Amino acid sequence: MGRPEPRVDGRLKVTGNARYASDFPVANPAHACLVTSAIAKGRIVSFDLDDARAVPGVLDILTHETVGNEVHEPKFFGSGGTASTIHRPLSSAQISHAGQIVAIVVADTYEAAREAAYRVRVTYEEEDAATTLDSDGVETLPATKVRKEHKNPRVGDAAAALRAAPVTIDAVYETPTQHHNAIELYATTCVWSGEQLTVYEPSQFVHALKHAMAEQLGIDAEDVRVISPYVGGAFGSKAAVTPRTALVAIAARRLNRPVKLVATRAQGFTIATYRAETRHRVRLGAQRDGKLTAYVHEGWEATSRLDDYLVGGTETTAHIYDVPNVSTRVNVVRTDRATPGFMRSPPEVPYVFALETALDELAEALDMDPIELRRINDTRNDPITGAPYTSRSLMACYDEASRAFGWRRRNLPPGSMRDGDWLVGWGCATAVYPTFMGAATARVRLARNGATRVEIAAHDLGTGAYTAIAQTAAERLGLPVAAVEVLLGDSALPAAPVAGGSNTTASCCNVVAKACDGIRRRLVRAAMRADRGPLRGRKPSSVNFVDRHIAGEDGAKVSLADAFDMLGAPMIEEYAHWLPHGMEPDALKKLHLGSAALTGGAMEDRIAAAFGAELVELRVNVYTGELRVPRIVGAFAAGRIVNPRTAHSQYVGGMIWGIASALHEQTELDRRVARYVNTDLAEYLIPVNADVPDVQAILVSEEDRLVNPLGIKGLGELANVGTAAALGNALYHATGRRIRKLPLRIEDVL
Amino acid sequence: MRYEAPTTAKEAVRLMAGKAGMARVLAGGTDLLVQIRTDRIAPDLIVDIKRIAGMRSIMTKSGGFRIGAAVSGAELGEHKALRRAWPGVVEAANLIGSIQIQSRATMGGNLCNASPAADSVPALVAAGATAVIVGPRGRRSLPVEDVAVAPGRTSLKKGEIVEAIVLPKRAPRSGDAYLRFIPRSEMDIAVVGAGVSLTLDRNGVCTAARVALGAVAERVILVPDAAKALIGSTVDQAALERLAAAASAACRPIDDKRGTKKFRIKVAGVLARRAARTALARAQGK
Ligand SMILES: Cc1cc2nc3c(=O)[nH]c(=O)nc-3n(C[C@H](O)[C@H](O)[C@H](O)COP(=O)(O)OP(=O)(O)OC[C@H]3O[C@@H](n4cnc5c(N)ncnc54)[C@H](O)[C@@H]3O)c2cc1C
Repeated sequence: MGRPEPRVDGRLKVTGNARYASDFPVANPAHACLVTSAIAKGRIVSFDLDDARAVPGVLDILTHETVGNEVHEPKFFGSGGTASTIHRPLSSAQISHAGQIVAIVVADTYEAAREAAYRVRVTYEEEDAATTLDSDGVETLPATKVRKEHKNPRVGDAAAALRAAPVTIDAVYETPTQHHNAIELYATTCVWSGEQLTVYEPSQFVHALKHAMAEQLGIDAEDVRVISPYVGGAFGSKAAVTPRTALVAIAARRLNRPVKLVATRAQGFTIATYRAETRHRVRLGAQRDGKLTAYVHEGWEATSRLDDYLVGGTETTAHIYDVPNVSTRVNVVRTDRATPGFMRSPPEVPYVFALETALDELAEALDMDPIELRRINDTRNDPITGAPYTSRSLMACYDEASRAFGWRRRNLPPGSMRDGDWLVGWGCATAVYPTFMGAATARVRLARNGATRVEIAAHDLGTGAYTAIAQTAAERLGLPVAAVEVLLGDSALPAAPVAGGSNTTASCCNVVAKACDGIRRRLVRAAMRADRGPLRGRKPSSVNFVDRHIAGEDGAKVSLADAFDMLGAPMIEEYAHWLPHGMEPDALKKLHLGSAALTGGAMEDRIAAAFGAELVELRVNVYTGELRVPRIVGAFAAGRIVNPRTAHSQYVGGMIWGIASALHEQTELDRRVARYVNTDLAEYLIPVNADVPDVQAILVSEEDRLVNPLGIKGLGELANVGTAAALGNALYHATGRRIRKLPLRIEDVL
Repeated sequence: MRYEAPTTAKEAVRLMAGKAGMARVLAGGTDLLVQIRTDRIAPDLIVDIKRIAGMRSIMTKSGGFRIGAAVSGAELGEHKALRRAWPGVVEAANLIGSIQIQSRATMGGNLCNASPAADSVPALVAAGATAVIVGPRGRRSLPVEDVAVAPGRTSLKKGEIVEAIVLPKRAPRSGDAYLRFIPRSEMDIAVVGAGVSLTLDRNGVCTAARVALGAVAERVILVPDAAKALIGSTVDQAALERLAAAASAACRPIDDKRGTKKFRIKVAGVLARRAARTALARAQGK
C-alpha cells in the first residue's frame, strides 16, 4: 500500500481483453432497440406497428399495450430503494418526460431492430410541459416536505448576524443541466436459463441491480446474477437501476432467447439520470478582518414529477468554514423531465460553486487575498455540531498549491495582470468531499504457494479499485501484487457497497484487510504453536508478513509454505465483514438487500472529509474574449493514499472535468417542449487535450487515525469540486466581471 | 440504399443523373455518413468517387493546381509545392477535424456539404479558386463562392459532381491565410472563419486582395469592401482597421450556443485583421 503500482487491469484494457457488458458472448442473442417519446408530457393515443413488423427478422415489439403490469413498481433509491425512478416502464399510455421509453423492438439482428424501431409510428396527445426552474407549471416544494430525513443544517441566528455584519454579500448563482456521457453506452444483456436470470450490465452496484430485478420481475433474488467486471465510465449514471433493464429481461423471457440492448448516445440522455440545473441564493456576513459571521444558503434543484431527487449540498457546505451563524434551505422544483440522479460529487459541484464564488466576492469586498480569507475561517471542528474533524488539511493544501503555482506574485486588483493581448486572472477555490463508508463483506483465499484470490462484489469504474484492493491484500499477506487475483463486479461475490460517494477504497480495503488478518492469525498461531521453528512461542503482535515470510522483529522468520505445513492445510479461506464507525447495526442486512446506505461526512461525534485547494490561471483575449486555461494546480489531502498513481489520475481527471463544467459542459434545453437538443459528443462539448495543457495534482500527506482502521478517505469525487468556482473567480480577477452562471461564456466577457 | 463505386467520372455522372430518388456523392464521408446515421438524410443511391483516378491526384497546371475532388486533407498537407504556394488554403483544409478525419475529408466535400462554417471554403474563396463541375451536359467552371447557396444547398444541378478544385497561379509577392475562432481549442465548429489573400507590388503596396468570411451568413461570403480597404495601402494599421470594420459590417449571422450575433460580428473583424497580417507577412516573404 502506498506504492504507485500500475493498474493490474491495465494490460487487459489496452489490449482490448477486458470484457465490458456488451462484450460478453451469449448464444444466439436477439437485439433490442428502443423507441423513445417524442413529447414530454401527455399520452400515447395509438401505435402503428405494421411497417415495423414487416421488417424481416423482427421478433417482438413491446409496448404498454403488451407489457402492462408485467414490471412491478420500482422503489426509488431516494426513498431507500434501488431504482432511478418509480416509473414502471411500458405500463401505461402516460408520458412524463421526453425520451421516455415507449416501445422496445426485438429482432434477429441489430440492423433489423433499428430499422423496425424507425418504423414504429406513435400518435400522441401532447400537453404543455414545464421544462426548468422558472417555467410555468413547475411545482416548488421545500426539501423537508418531500424527504423526511432531509435536514437543513443551521446554527445560531443567521438573520441577526447578517443584519449586524459590517460587510455582506448577497448573490444568486446558477449551474446548468449536465449529462455523464460515459464512453460506454447504456447496455444490457439478459439471459434466462429456466428460472434463472443473468444480467450483463455496467453497474455501480451489482447487488442492488440483482434485488431490483427480483422485485421488478417478481422472482427470487437468488435466481438473479449480475455480471459487470469492467465499467467504461459511470460517474453515478450506472448506480441506480434504470427502467430499461426489466424491459430487456421481459423481452428475453418472452422469446426464451438472450436479448441484448445497447442504447444510443442520444437515448442515453433520457433513459438514465443526469445532473439537474440548480439555483442558489447565498448571503454572507463578515467582520472587516474577514471573520465570517453569517452564512445563508438557499438552493433550488430541478427534479421530475414522479420522484423527488435531491442533492441538498448545504449538507456539505454548511460544515466547511468556521461560521457561528448558519441557515440553509433547499427546495425541489418538479418539472416534466426525467428524474435526475447522482453525477460525480452530486451535492458538492453545484453548492460549492455557489459558496466558493460568494467567498471570492467577499474577499474582493474586503480587499483581501482570497486564500487569506479561507485561512481566517479555517476550522478544526464542525461549525454546526462542534464535533472534531477526524483530520483536516485544507490550509496545508492551499500552502502547497500556492507554492507550486507562484500565488505570491498575484496582483490583488482585478484586470491588473496582462500578457500581450491576454488579460490574466488567477483564482482559487476549495475542494471538499465528505468521507463516506459502507458495510462491506469479502472473501480472501491464500494458498500455500502464495497465490491469493480476493472476492468482493465491489466495482472498478476505471478508477483503480482492482489495483488498490490487490495492493491491500498483497501488503497484509507479504506478497507481491502479482500474486493477488481480484474478482469484482459480480453479484455472486460477497456483497460490497455501491460505488458511490467515493467509498469503495475505504470500505473495500478495510474489509479485505480484515479478511487477510484472519488468515494471518491462523498462520501465525500455527507458526507459534509449532514444536519447532524460529517463531515458536512468540507474541502474535511481534511478527509481520513480509516477502512471503512471517518475520519477527529480530529477523527470525518462517516461510509461508512452512507455516502452511505447520498448520497442516494447503490453503486458507477467510470471509469477513466490516462495519464502519457510525453505521447502523442492521447495515449488513441492508447491504445484502441492495441498499446503498453509507455513513460518514458530518456524524454526531465527528466529521470526516477530504479537502483540496485548486488554483487556476485563466486568460481572456482582449479582442475575441477567448477563454483559455493554461494551467491549474490542485493540492489534495485524503488520508492514506493506497496508490498515488491512480489517485493522481483521479485528481487530474477531476480537475479536467471541473474545467469542462466551467467552460464547456451544458445540456441545452428546448424550453418550449422540455427536450434536450445537444445529445451527442459533437454538440455536448467537453475539453480536448489542447484545452488542458498543464494540469498539476499534488498529493498532500495526511494521517487520519480515526476515520477507519486503514486511515483511508475517498478521493474520486474530490477534484472536480470547486474547479468551476476557481475559474469563475479567475475570470473576475482577469476582467473585473463577475459571472454567476455556468458555463462561463465568451459573450459574458465581451 | 444502393452503393456504387465507379472508376470514371463519366460513369459517376451517369449514375448520379439516373432516375434513382435521392443520390449523393460520397467523398470522405465525414459529413455524409454522419448525416445518414443521425437520420437527417436517407439517400437511395451513394456514388463513391474515391476509385476515380482523375479525382485522386493533385496536378500542377499552368502554374496553378488542379486538386481532385477525392484528395484528402492529409494529402494536401503533404504536398510541398501546394503548401508553399497557398499556405492559407492548406492550413484551412488541415484544420478540419482530427488526424482521423483528415485522412478522409476532402475540400470538395467541405464545399458541397454547403455548411456556412466550412473551414476550407473561405480560404478557397479568398484564393480565387474555381470548382470544375462535370455533369450530363459536360464540364463547366464556377467560382467557389457560387457553389453553396444556403445551409446544405448548392447550385449543382441533378447529376453534377465537383470533379476538381483549381487554384490559380500565384502572383509574386502574394500571401494568404485562414483563421477560425472556436470556443474550445480543437475539434469544434467555427464561430467565425476568415480567409485573406493579398498581393503586393515592389514597394509593398497592396495591388490585389480578396477577403472571405465563414459562419457569419447563410453561406461563406466574399467581402469586396474589406478587400478594397487593403488595396492601395501598405496594409498599415489604418487599412487593417478599415478592413476589420468592413468585415464586421458584412456579417449577417445568427445566434447559437457557440456564439451570439454580436460576438460573431465583432470577432469577424478581429480575425480578418489577424489573417490579413499573416497574409502580409507571407507576401513579404517573412
Ligand atoms: C469529427 C468531425 C470533425 C469535423 N471537423 C470539421 C472542421 O473542423 N471544419 C469543417 O469545416 N468541417 C468539419 N467536419 C465536417 C467534414 O469533415 C468536412 O466538411 C469535410 O471536408 C467533408 O468532406 P468529405 O470528403 O468527408 O465529404 P462527404 O461527407 O463525402 O460529403 C459531404 C457532402 O458533399 C457531397 N459531396 C462530396 N463530394 C462531392 C463532390 N465531389 N461533388 C458533389 N458533391 C459532393 C456529398 O454528397 C455530401 O452531401 C468535421 C466532421 C467530423 C465528423
